This record gives sequence, structure tokens and C-alpha cells, in this order.
Amino acid sequence: MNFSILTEVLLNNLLIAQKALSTRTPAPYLQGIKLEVYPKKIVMITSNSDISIKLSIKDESLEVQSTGDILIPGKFFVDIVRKLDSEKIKLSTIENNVLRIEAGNSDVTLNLLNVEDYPELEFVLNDNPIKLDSKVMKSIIRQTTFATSAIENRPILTGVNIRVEGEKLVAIATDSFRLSQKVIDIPKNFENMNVVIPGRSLDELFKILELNLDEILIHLDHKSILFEYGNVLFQSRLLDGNFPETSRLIPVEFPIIIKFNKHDLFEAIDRASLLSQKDGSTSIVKLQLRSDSQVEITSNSPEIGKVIEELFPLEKAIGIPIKIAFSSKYFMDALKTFNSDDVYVKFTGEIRPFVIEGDEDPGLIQLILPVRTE
Amino acid sequence: MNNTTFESLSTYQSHVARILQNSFKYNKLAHAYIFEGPKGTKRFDTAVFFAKALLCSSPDADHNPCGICHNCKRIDHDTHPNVFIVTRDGEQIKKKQMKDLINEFSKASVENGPRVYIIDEAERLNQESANTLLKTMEEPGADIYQIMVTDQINSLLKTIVSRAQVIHFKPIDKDLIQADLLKNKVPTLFAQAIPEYTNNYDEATQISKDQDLLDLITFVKDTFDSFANKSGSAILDFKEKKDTFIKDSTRVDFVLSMMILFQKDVMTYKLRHLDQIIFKDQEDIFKKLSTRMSQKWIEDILDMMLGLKLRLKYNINVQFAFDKLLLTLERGYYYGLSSRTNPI
Repeated sequence: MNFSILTEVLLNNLLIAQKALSTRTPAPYLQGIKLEVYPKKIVMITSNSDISIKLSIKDESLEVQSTGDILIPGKFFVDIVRKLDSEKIKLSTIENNVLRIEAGNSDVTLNLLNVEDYPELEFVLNDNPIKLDSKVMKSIIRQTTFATSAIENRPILTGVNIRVEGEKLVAIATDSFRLSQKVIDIPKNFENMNVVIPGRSLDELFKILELNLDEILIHLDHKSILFEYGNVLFQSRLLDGNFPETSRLIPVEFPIIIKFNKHDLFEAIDRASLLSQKDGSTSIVKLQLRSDSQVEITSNSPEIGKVIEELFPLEKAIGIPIKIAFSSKYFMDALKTFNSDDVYVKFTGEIRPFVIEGDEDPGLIQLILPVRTE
Repeated sequence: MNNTTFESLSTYQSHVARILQNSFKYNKLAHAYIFEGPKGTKRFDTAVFFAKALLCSSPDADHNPCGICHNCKRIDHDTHPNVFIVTRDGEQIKKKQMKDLINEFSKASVENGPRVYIIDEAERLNQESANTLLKTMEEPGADIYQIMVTDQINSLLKTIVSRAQVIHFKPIDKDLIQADLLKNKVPTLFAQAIPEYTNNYDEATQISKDQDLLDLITFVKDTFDSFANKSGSAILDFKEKKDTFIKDSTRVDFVLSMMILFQKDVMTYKLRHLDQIIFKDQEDIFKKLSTRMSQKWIEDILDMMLGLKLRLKYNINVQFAFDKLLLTLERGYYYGLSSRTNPI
């Protein structure tokens, strides 16, 4: 194997590829970057077994002398290429599985890993990918992954459930105390699907989406999900098992609806949470709709002090007075996902889950379970 | 063990080979196995072989893995993403290791095909890890196979044992170990001695590579040789050699075991059970020694040695005990003095 290419081109691709580079795995072969060199292109593959990235690099500056596959120790290679100051870089294998890196005045040799040990990663493309605006994809990730479970007792809840149902694509995440659901419209020519993607994979995808290309293609299959983004193929393993049925969790009718300014509500809860009772690690605040249609957000911990925040709903609240307690963190997490300035908080009862929605966020529902006090 | 087949396995563990091969043949694989038996009975090797047989991309008609495809090679290198081998971390298998494992199996496989996890020394699962594992055993995933390797099946949770197929591994026949050692170019003397000391296949291989231990065998042989030929003084030689092993109780035990083997051979020769002699090549020594002393004396010495072997476990003065043993041997074999001595 022997080729040369612009250092910048190689580095830019390496920086994407290294996102899937494994750091703490017991398997040393996953700490490598696999390079496949073909006559007209090079392919770069990294994987930490949960996510796998494949980059096809075609560039005018690419000159291939000879082809071949190698497995390069990832971290060292990235660090070396990052620090090179010459415009072009030449890579070649010399005897005994050693890579030679020539760039300007630098001449580096690097011991390679055994390419035979690398897993046979299958990147599954299908003929009919779902095309999304990459901004939409980003917002789906931002609005759902935070609600996945951090505890691995029920592994399935650490993932985001993605469903294709007719003309809708639904993304749902829940840790069984809150639920976040985003529905977007898609054209109606896709097979129905129901998969669960690990939340962490989506967080990594989010970082790659910073490249700000226009669109992203989703190749969805029952066994795998692959995102095609420019020259990047990003594949994630799926979680095995059935995601809980959540459709019945979301109430249909809301007798009590209060409209707030998102910013004011956030600030009020944030302040109240300072002196709130700690239930384990979560802090509990109370929201009360008074009979005079004013809203009071309170927290009280007898040994420290008490906060009362008065809030004026933007419109006259609908429904009867109510008093409900919830985790301030969950509420603030949920509020952060909204683009709208105004949000509706909808209640069905004091010990029933409540829902937050916003005018400018169609398809987005944040559901939170209240906490029983007393 | 790169080219194990069911056939080669059956020379060591015939019924294990039969059970496993039949499960493949009739497609009746259990999702969990316990490979149970004493150490050194090829349990772990068989587990890896099983994984290969499952994952090999071109097994032969008898379900033997080819050993040369990408899957087989990577299992040999321990780099296959579908094969997980859990070994103890410190003294125990920790809960975190089980959690990682469960986490891994909550996701779809990295490569298509079955997945295997092998837990070595499963008796080292602590209560917590065992319970964590149990949960997954209750709902085995599709195409996931589990093998637990243990020599103390009774210390596994009953609920785990009841969910797995138990396969018993028998101690390996001495002759097989000897044949294997000879095949690996271990000199005859050692190949004859080692299987008498241990029937643990792994330990035997290990000893055959430990030059210090091999030297000790040679030393014991030389000692008996010098008794037989009355050349030099065994006691003086012994004094020189002693320092190399006297501090290490397992080595002391090793030397004594070897001496017992030689003494036994003298006895066997005396009784003319020539086919039962272990060190056949040294028959000359036994011939000379056995004619010099009475059967009763030889038996007494053997008694003395076996007694000493037992007492080694207590705080006795090993040095004196060996001196006395050597002295008695030399007086007998050298000078024909068979005065009854007090036990050591």
C-alpha cells in the first residue's frame, strides 16, 4: 500500500473517523483505523462496536501507487497527522507490517496492527433511504436523547425508539419517569419500522452533524440503522428487545391548560429548585394553580428555607385549581427542548402525568410524571 | 489446540465429543452449558473449540471447524467480536464484568451469526455477579450461547446449574499425557515422570517447560543412580542441590514425589512386575538396588517417604527430614545396613 494525499484532507476525515474510535475497549483491534486503499479512493473505517464509521475519500490530490488494507493504531496516527505541518503526506507500508509516514521533513514509522483481526463490518445501505434535513435530524436528537435512561437495568430504555408508521416518523425516549416524543412527517413510501437506537450513538451522530451539510439519508433496516451524511456512513448497533408501548401513556384530554412564557417559567423553576427538598438526587418543586388564576411555584425544605415564585399565565388558565409536584430537573430539561417562546403545560390531575407543548414545535411532546408528596 | 476436531477431542474426552457433535448434528444445541471437571481436562479449550464450530464459515460434514477461515482465525487470536471470554478480575469475577456482558448482549450483534460467551472459573462468580447473570439466563436471547467452565460445580448457584446442560470432563488418562509430552519432544525421563505427578494437562505441559523442575527430576534420578553404582556420595550432592528447592514447599513436595516414584519402581522390580515400572529406561538402577535390600526394607522406606509427604504440610524441619531420609537410603543401598530407624 502506498499513496499520497493533502494532509488537510486526510486530517479532516480522520477527525470524523476518530469519533468511533474505541478508547476503553478491551479489544485492541478496535483502537485501530482501518484503511482500504483502492486505485481511485481510500476508505477509512473505525468502530467501537456500538457505532461504526466508514468514510470514502476521493480527492484530486489523492495519488495511489499501490493498493492494500492496513490497520493503523488510531490514537497515535491521529496525533501524528494533527501535528504535521507539511501540505502533503505520503503513506506507505514497509516490511514487517510497518507504516511509513513521510511529510515534509518528517519521516515517521509506525507499527501496524494485524488487519486480519478487524471485524467484518457490514454497512447496510438500502435502496429507499429516508431523506431528512440535517437540521431536523439534529433537533430530533436534541429533543429526545436527553430523556433516555442512564441506568442500565433496563437496557432497552437507554435507547431512542424510532418508528416509521405510514407518513410519520416517530422518535420516543423515556426513562420511565418522563417521556419525550417527536413526530415528523415523511413521504408515504416507506416500510413500517420499529427500532431502538442507543442514545449514546445518537449523541455521537450529533457531533458529526456539526459539519452542517444540508441533508442526511437514513437507511433503516430491521437489524441496523445507517446514516449517510456526505461521504460519511455512520452505522449504529440497535438495542435488542421490545420498546414499551407508550401511546397509551400520553393523555388525550386535558381539563387544565396553562400557557406560560417559556423563559419566565424556566427561571422561576430554576430559582425554586435552589431550596427544594432533595429526594435522592432530584429536587422537587411544586406548582399550584390558584383559584385566582395565578400560578405559584414553591419549594420548601424546613431546615433551610422556602421559595415562592409567582407567575402570571400568558392567557387565563383553563380549568380548576390544581397543585402538583415534580422534579425540577426533568421540567427544565424538557423546557430546553422547545424553540417556541410560549409553552402550554397541560394537566389531567394531581397524580397524573402532565404534558408540555409549544406552538412552534409541532410534533413535540414532553411528558413528565409528577411526584407524590405528603 | 488450533486444529482440534471432534475426533481429536474424543481421544481425551470421548463422551464430551459425542454429546457436542450430536447436538450439532441434530441441531439440538443448548443455550447454556456448564463444562465441569477437574483442572487440566481441556475444558476451556473445548469451550473455544465449541465457539469455533459454531461460527466457522466452512465447517466440514462432521461439523468440524476449518481452522483457517477468518472467523476461526480471529477466535484463535481472541479478536472475534461475537466471542466473549470472561476471566476473573483479581480473585473474583466482578459484577461489573457481568454488567458489561449483559450490556453487550442487549444490543444486536456486531457481525451476523451466533454469539458465544465463555466464563472461565465460573465458581469465582460472586453472589452479585451470579444473580446478574441469572437474570439473562432466564431470558436467553436468540442465537446466544453460554459456556461456564468450572471445577467446583457445587459452588455455582443451583438456579444457574438448573438452567444449563452440565457436561462432565473426566481426568485425562496418564498415557495420553505422556504420549502428548513425548510428541512435544519432552525427553523420555520427564515424559514418564510428569504424568505420575499430575493428571492436569495444563500443569503437565507447564512442568515440562520449567527447566528448574526438570533439573530436580534429573537430580532425583542421579541420586538413585549414584546409589546403584556407588559412585560419589548422594548426601554431599544433596547438600549442594538442596538450597535450590528447600525453601519452596511445592518444590520440596515435587522432589519427594519423584523420590517416591523411584522407590516405588525399586519395589515393583523387586516384585518382578516388570511391566508396571514407570521409568523403564532406568531398569538397570532398579535391578541393582532391588537385589541389595529386602522387600521389607524397601517397603519401610516407602512408608517413611509417604509419611514425610504427609508431614510436609506441618511445620517440620524439612532440611533435617531430608537429611535423615537420604542417610537412611544411603546406609541401606550403599552399605546394606538395614537397621530399623525411627520414623522421621
